[in-house]
Amino acid sequence: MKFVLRALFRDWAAVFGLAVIFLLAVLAIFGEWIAPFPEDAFDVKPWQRLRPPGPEFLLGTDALGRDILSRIILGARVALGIALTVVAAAALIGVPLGLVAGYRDGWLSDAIMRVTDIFLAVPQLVLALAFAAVMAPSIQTAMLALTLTYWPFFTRIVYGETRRVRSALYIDALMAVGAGPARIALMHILPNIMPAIIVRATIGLGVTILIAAALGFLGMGATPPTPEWGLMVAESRRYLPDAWWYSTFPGIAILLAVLAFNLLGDGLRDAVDPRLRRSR
Amino acid sequence: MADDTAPMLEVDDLSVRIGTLDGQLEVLQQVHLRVMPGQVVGLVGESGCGKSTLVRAVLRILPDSARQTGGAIRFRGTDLATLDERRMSREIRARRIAFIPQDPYLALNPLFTVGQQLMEILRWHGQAQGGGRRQWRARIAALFARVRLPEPEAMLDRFPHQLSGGQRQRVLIAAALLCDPELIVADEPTTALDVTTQQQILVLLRELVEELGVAVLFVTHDFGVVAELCSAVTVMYAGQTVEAGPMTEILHAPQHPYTRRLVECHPDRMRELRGIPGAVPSLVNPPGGCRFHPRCDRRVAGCETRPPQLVDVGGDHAVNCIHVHGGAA
Repeated sequence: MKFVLRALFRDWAAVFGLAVIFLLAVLAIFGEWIAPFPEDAFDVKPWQRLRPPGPEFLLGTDALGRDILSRIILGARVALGIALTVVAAAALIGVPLGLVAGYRDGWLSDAIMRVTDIFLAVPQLVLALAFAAVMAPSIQTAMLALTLTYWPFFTRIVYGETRRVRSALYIDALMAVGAGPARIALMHILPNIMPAIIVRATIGLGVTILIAAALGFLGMGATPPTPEWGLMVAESRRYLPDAWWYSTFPGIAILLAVLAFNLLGDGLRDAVDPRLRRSR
Repeated sequence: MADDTAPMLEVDDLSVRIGTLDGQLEVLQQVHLRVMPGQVVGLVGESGCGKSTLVRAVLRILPDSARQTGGAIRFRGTDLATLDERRMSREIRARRIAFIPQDPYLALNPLFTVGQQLMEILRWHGQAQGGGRRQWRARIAALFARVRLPEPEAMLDRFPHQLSGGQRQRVLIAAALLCDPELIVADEPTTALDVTTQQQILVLLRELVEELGVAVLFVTHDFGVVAELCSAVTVMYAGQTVEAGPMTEILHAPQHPYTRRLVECHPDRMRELRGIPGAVPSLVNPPGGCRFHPRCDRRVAGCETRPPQLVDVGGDHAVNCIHVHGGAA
């Protein structure tokens, strides 16, 4: 563990990603105390609408006179909440299925992988849109749709990695000393494929933030007045190009969050794998 | 303890099939093998003749697609095939039959230190009753010293990639000795090593065998190794046992044409190197009868129909060939 952290901190891109994610986490947890106008999540202040960035409103105000900085800060919780829930749920479904399918041969393994293929063939955004159309558009609907389309990525990567590790001779050696399948899968195969899962999950957090924002933008995800970044960009479209700050800053928030998770994902992959670690 | 005149391990008429896309392959057909207590038996044959499958069948770690279709594997009189999986894991594997895998570069989990990996075996088999972590470490370090690893204490905290091939093989031997087994099954433990390291490992193994009196089933394709280590030999070809007997007899007076050619192939017995024409047959559609007959220089009518049958020629020597008829009863 110590090695991993040391290697990670030597990678400036990963450190940048980690710093941004740490900042996001702080904003998500303590948003109400940090935001200059926490009540701006819901309040309407028409007398101060569309003010450009200045000393009073650092990033300007939106069409309803709400402080954009405050709404970005409050939006961090929404974005991280969606991403963490979706990725955790998808991993919870996908990882065990992939382990079982990869460890066993036979019909069960085939069945799991064919179902996975079917789900992989459904585009995330389309299913999410369909869900939103059938049920009412809401953050919950979006999360459900994203989870249902993201778990197959975990299953597939865990399946492939399990197959690879399972054929290693040390698995034979473990069987020969009397270790059972559950023990081998959880204690030996899972740690060996953790790098792949971590990378997938970290990048998945970025992707999920992006798609959640896209859904918000299309009006099929978060509903007003929720301070959601994609929704903020959508609302700002009508005021472009005059109120440039209105769409730019939420956009930058999305960009930074996604970039941070991708950089951290790459950095983690290099740091967790002891063989890559030596070559750096 | 146990009767020393009864075989410790007796593989009798064992057949194993593996299901593949090409259909069912009979990778082992009526195989026989016997290991006496304290004996080192060499299991010899070309690549793909079923040596590793036999070893895995003994430990019951065959892939899911393989099935034992006939015969028995008796260890100290118990048929391992009928033992339930739990008892197999708890009582047989590592405890009484230990395994030294083929390639030391691949046989250790790269994510854990070698100490952690040996510790896990001890924990799993509850061999450390009462002992704390420190006693376990001391015990593993003592074993490391015994297999002559340098700095045994420090070695515990090394990762596999920090060790040399020879050192890893020593770690694997230590792992096999961890639970004081009665039988060690070694699947080509020296094949992946360079010649000098190979020699050191063989010397170590011979010392350990003499010191501990443990029986060894030693898989190899090298008659030089057999001559150095083993007192008996079983020769396999394409999933069949072709000949079994005392090492000196097999090496100096082989009876089966295949064994004869195989012994001749060994470089230091012949000035001129002779191979065996042809290749090991595909098991998808193996030759009937004696599976060696298409390559055999003493082939006669009847070879392709004769069912495999080991004929005792006396002095614990048995041959599976149409030309051999029982000598002494």
